[in-house]
Amino acid sequence: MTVLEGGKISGRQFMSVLVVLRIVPLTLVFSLINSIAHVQDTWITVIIGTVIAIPIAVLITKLSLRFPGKTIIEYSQSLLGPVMGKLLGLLILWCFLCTSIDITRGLGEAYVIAIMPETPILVFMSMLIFISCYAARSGLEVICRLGEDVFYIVVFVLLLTYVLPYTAMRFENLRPILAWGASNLVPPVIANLGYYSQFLIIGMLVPYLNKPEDATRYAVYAVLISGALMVLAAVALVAVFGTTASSWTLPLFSLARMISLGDFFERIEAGVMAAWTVSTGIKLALFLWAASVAVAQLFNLKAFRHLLYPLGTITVAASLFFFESMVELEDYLAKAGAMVSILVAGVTLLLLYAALGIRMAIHRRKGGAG
Amino acid sequence: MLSKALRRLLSRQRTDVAGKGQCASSPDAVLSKRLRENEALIRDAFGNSPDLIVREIRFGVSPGIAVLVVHIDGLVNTALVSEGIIKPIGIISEILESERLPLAQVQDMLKNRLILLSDAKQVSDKAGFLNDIAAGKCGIIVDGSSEAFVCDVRGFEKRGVEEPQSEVVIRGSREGFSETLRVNTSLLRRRIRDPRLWIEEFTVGRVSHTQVAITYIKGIADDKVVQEVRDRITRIDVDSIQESGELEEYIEDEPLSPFPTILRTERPDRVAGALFEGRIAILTDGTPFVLIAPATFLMFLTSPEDYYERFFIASAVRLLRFVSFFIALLLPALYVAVTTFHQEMLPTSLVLAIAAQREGVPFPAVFEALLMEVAFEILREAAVRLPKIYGPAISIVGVLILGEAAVRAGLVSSAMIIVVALTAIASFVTPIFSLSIAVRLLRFPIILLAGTLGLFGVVFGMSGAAIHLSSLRSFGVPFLEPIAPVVLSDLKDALIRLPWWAMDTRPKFTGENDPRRESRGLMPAVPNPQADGTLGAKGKKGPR
Amino acid sequence: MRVRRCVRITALLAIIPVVLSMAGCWSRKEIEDIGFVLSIGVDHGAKEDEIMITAHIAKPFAISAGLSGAVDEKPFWQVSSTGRTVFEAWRNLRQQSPRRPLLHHSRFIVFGEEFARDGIHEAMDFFFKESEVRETNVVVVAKGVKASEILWNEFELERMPAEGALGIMKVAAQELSTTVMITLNEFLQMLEAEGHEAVASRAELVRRPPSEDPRGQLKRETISISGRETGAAAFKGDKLVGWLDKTQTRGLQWVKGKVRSGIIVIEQPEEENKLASIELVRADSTVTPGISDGRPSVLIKVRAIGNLGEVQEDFDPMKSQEAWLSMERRMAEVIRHEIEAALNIAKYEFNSDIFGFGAEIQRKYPKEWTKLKDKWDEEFPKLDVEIEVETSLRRSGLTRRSVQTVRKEEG
Repeated sequence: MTVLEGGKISGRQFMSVLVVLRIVPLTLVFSLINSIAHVQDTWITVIIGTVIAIPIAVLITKLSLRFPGKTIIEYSQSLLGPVMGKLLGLLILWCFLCTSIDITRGLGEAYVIAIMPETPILVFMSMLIFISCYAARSGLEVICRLGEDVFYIVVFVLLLTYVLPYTAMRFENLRPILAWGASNLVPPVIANLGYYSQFLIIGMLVPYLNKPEDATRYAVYAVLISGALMVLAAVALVAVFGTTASSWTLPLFSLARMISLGDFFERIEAGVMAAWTVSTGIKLALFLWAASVAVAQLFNLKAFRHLLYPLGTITVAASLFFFESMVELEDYLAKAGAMVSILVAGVTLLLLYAALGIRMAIHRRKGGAG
Repeated sequence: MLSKALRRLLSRQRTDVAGKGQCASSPDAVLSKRLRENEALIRDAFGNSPDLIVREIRFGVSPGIAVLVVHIDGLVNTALVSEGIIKPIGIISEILESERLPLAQVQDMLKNRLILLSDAKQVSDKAGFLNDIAAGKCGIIVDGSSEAFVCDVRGFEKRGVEEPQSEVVIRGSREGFSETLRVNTSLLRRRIRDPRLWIEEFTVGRVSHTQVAITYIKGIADDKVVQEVRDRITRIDVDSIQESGELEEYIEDEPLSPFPTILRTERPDRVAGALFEGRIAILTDGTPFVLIAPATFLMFLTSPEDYYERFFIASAVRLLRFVSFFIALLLPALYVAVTTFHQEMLPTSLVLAIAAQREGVPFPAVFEALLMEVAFEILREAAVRLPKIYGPAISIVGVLILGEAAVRAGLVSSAMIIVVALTAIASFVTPIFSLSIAVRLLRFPIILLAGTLGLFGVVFGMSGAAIHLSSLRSFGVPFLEPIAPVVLSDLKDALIRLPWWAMDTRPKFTGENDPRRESRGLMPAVPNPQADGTLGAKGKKGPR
Repeated sequence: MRVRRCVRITALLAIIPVVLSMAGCWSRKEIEDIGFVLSIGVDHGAKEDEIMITAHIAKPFAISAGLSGAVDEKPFWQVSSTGRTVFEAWRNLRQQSPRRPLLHHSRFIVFGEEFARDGIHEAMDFFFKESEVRETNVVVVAKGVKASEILWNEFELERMPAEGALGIMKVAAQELSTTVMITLNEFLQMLEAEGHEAVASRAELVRRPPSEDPRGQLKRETISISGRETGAAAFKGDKLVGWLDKTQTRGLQWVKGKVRSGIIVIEQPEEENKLASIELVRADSTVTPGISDGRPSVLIKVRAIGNLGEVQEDFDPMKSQEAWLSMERRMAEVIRHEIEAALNIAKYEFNSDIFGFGAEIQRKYPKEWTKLKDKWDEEFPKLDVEIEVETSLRRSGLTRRSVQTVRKEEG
């Protein structure tokens, strides 16, 4: 089977889109802090999550590097055989679609909650999907080019949001540390790893890298950078909001609302919202692209571009009907969604590595016999 | 059949192999051996036009051989024709006893000794001969031969080299291209005095036979891109090309984009600069506007002056230009979005001031913005097209009626007037007009989006534009390079300009053949007095 | 193919705004159709279990008219409405306001004393859930009056009362340190925190005798009711328990390390009945909790740096180093006195830990705190508080010694 997409992406672009896709949920709906009972420990859980996420990212990348020029959908078929491989491919595809559905709904909800309550959520979601499909149609190269720029913009906006409310920060809010035992740390680590499980998309990106040998390095960088951004977010949020930090639906949005410098540099939360919108757009474009390429490769189609708008429509519809309310979405993201993502990533890795091990063992025995 | 005709019409000649034009072999395509038939043919072809001059002279002592000199009045330099052709044939041949000379010898004599012009070539192709006459060359036909001479004696009224009107600089060359292709190539040759400046000429247009030249620096420009340009130009099959803008529409990568992907300029220094970056210039006869391809988005926001002024200032000015670009694109939309959707974004005193101004304005802010923008566009268009004498009238009407009276009457708010005025001025900052009209056009849908969905609409519109722009390519070069994709080495000459001694590499996508443009370590340094003790000592003792 | 795609996309881009504008612009609100609420007050309604909301709405046309010339019209409008919940009362405002009231630009949330004494918990949630309310709003309790009354006050120097009050509050918090400026965000944190009771800003009315304008030219009435922001309101749980006066408030601010500047008046060392003023330049504090034998204690260390601003009697520090040092000691004494005043009223009168000592203990001894937490009400009045004040006088203005006048003895 041939690679459907002609473009090539650089290592830096690869890293950028990975960071963007990890920090999209951070930029507003920081579900880590929403799922922790005592917020003072949030930054520790982020560090723990990041440390665990590094081997996950490395495992996914290394696996893909063994099959140059093939996406995870393709090599899972060649490793596990057509039937099992297709089943696993469907699982991965379902995971991609779920992610798209979550973030679409998340963005719509944020707009309706925070900025324009009277507008139907469908408007935001369908326009977002439309623009993401447009980007995805232009190909991976365009998504990644823009992704790199969005990465710089988002990092800049995030750092501003962390630093500028310094007048409202009280760092003693961060104490005490680790006073509630390990049980306090588990839910946010799971939520965090749930998001990192979305790094399965590395399996779709590695074949298009112009220098695949750098992939592992950049994947690790991506985990570290996103981890650092989240640690800072946790620190800034707790310093400003204290124990109330976990009560905000959109913590970073509320954090940006606290910025007030010299009576005129204030009210910049819309900028945060804009940065969040474009990063969500990039992430959505990436996942829709991955999903449509996956569909094309699963069902041996020649082109993936025609699949984009149908997939987008399905995503909008699903994100409307999957979740009854924002409460449900948040609950899902922090608990069930995270567990499912971890499960899918775990099963995928386990199956593929097991198959790979068996293959190699057989191969070696054959080699030894021959 | 069609393709044959096409190929003939697009007969391509390269200057370095000029004169080796292939002869057509079919009998009706070549000139006749009889002079009368040829004369009739020519007169017929031009419809016996009054400016067609067909002069018959006799070669050698009477009766001699009849020679026909054909040219178009007004296109040729008459003095040159009489000095270089008629005089030698008429007078000098008188002395020669050429009556009995064989035809071949006569022709040889004509070509090599008698026609005292630098450029003369032999043709027998009927259509080619007629086209040459129409292009302003002088044709000479000898009785009994189907071979004719064509000499370049073109001399017509043309505009001289003047200061470019559309790209003004304070510091830098005052030369601008003119309408004549040869003048324009000479301007380039004078700036790049190296044989590696290659010029290739094409004739485009079935009827207009417009000359189009592509120039590039051999060895720097990518041969594949040159071939691509060549291919795109040769496949054009139209009646006429009058301006490089027409040409542009036939050769650009994304014909349906509002953004131009080929840069046009009338400044030779700009073209020369682009050639040194490995780009290709396309010169069209009849227009001072030269096309540069591949072009990137940032090139449209730079002025040649950026490279002549000190780099701090140039960088600051460039940043200012980016800011004005975004003001021109977004300000009205942001105003609409903020005043109708996101009042929380403005400081309280400002929001109250705007609210007070809008008190009693009958239109919603979106409509007000659209109205004023359209009014301004009308004003601008009128100011451009109007004879200069009417200029003051337009400004009085514009200022007094549209500005002052509209605010007084409460039709628009004065904040909106300020926004529109700032937008208008910002749009004039863009150095290349073709980009600034694209921005003007895009402003309207973005205002509409802002009026329906506020900032989300603006972000939506801008994302759409960004996706579109980053999917564009100009002759293989990503249009948004070096911003998307980020190319670190090219950021030296992007949003800011580093000093010349630091910009040591050519742009990555166009200058790959010869990446370095200067040697390293050119940053000037003051001689160190410690190392060279005499310098410091001399300076001190000097006056005594 | 490519052409068709582009045409389609262009058409879509063109159609979307048109369709959207036909479908109606849901969130659109023209700026002139909005009533910008600058302050909002919460009181009990006339009926039982009713909440009364008072909104202080700007009148933009009156402001701009005021800029171009004198105008009688007040630049604001005050309107009240009632409901069973804050949100209902707030929505009910639209029965009376032709322009849609918006809270985006509100600066103050004012509670009437009566309402605050009965507990503000039921009113708080609205202000956090509603996205229009910024967390930088200042929480104020009106002393002795209803919130609706205090919102009426006006200031001579600012046309908009909210701007005026905010100006006063900023200046008083920064240059006097005798008032607290508590934002909604801080207030919520204090309400939610364990071992930390809330304080809020306090506002009261100042009635001036109506005075006549000597020239009789100004049409504008002299403002007879004005506001004053000073002191603080102390809460226990969500209920107002009492007021801190100027001194006590600064005592509180000392402990919290929030004193920016201020004037400390001390008795002059050599002349007991003459006074000297010290301008504070910088101050900070640390609160260190300790636990010995299960008994909590707190050590407060305050460091203050000041300049000698004025003396009433002849004074030359160059002559007597001792006098200078004694001034520093007296300054420390005043600060200690202020802190004690605050401590005493909080401990014995309110029994409310407005200093957040409990929270400090929780930070340092989280395990012990779990035991202390439930009996903190009994523990807090018994808490051992040690105060250490370190002061230093740095400069004495442009002159080194005081102004000296030769006094002619009478008679």
